[in-house]
Amino acid sequence: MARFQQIRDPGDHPQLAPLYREIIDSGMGEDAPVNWFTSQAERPDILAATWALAKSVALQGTLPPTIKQMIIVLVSSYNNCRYCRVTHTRALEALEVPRELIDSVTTYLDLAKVPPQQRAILQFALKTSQNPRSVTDDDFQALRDYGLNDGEIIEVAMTAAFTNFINTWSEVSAIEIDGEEGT
Amino acid sequence: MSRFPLTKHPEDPELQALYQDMLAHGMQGNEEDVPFNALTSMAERPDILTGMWGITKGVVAQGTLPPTLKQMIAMTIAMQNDCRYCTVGHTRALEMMGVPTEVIKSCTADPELADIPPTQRAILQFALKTARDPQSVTDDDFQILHGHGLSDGEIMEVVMMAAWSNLLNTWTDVSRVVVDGEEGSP
Repeated sequence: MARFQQIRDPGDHPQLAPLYREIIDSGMGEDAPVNWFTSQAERPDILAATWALAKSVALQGTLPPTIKQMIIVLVSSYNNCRYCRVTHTRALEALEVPRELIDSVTTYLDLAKVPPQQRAILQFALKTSQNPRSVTDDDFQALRDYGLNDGEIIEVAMTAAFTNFINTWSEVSAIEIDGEEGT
Repeated sequence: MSRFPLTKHPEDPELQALYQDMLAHGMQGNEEDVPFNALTSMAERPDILTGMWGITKGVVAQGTLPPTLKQMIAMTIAMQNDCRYCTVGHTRALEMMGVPTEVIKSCTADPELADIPPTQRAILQFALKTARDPQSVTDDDFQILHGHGLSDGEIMEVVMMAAWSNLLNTWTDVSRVVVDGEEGSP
């Protein structure tokens, strides 16, 4: 049971209505934004800020959407955040990522089926999310050797940090998985 | 030594506008006309910096909780995460706000937060728990904050301050951004 009131219909609320429209149009919901967002509707100012972060770090950017979703699923799995793991596994399925690749980042966590460049990116992201001070110059060099530039490494690091951020809200707010409400 | 270049005086008009907005919300680092290093170190990616600034402005610079309380949350979490950049930065912010030294010391050195008034202490304890292990936060923890008069919207702000602090700590640790004013030191 979610700990914050979820507003699905924003009516003609001057801040919420356009925000909801934009979130839905970005694929983060159908009739209403997904529960992660509707659970913040009590504070439209905060929702606007979290949406700004989500949009720039997770939805836009230069890295392929599949690798970003893989980072989010892997870090969420490590953090044992069910809401984010399930939601972003659905995103990987929608991107038509092969099943064995998805299982490798969600269930086995061994990244065995992940190609080397993507595996290096995922390992860097995981380290960043679990213990950012443990990231070494060699870790940076490993990504550069795979052709990533500094800007892309920023994107990897921020996607990892962002995943911790969304996991924190999902856990504290105790939101239910979209489609499982009331079960 | 920072792992990403610190762009202090950008030529890109988009970055210039972003910096102006940061400065208008008190995000000065060591220099009057430059935002602090945790932000300028992300300038290689103006798009991501825009998102980082969006969350920082909405959750930290604005909102309804008192600015001193928000800086205390950020500071105690930085201590918990052992993030030097953020500990130094938020200590300076608290000093500039005129918060008494013993209160700042209690945040930095005393896990019991003994010198902190009860409501603020309850909020800090909730924020620390959220930042360290969000799954461990219970309905009772919510009830304690409700008992101190906080609304759901205010509790949301506490949670997001905690999550934001981890976000900033992660960035400053992985980027090894240098403390503002220590750029030239070995």
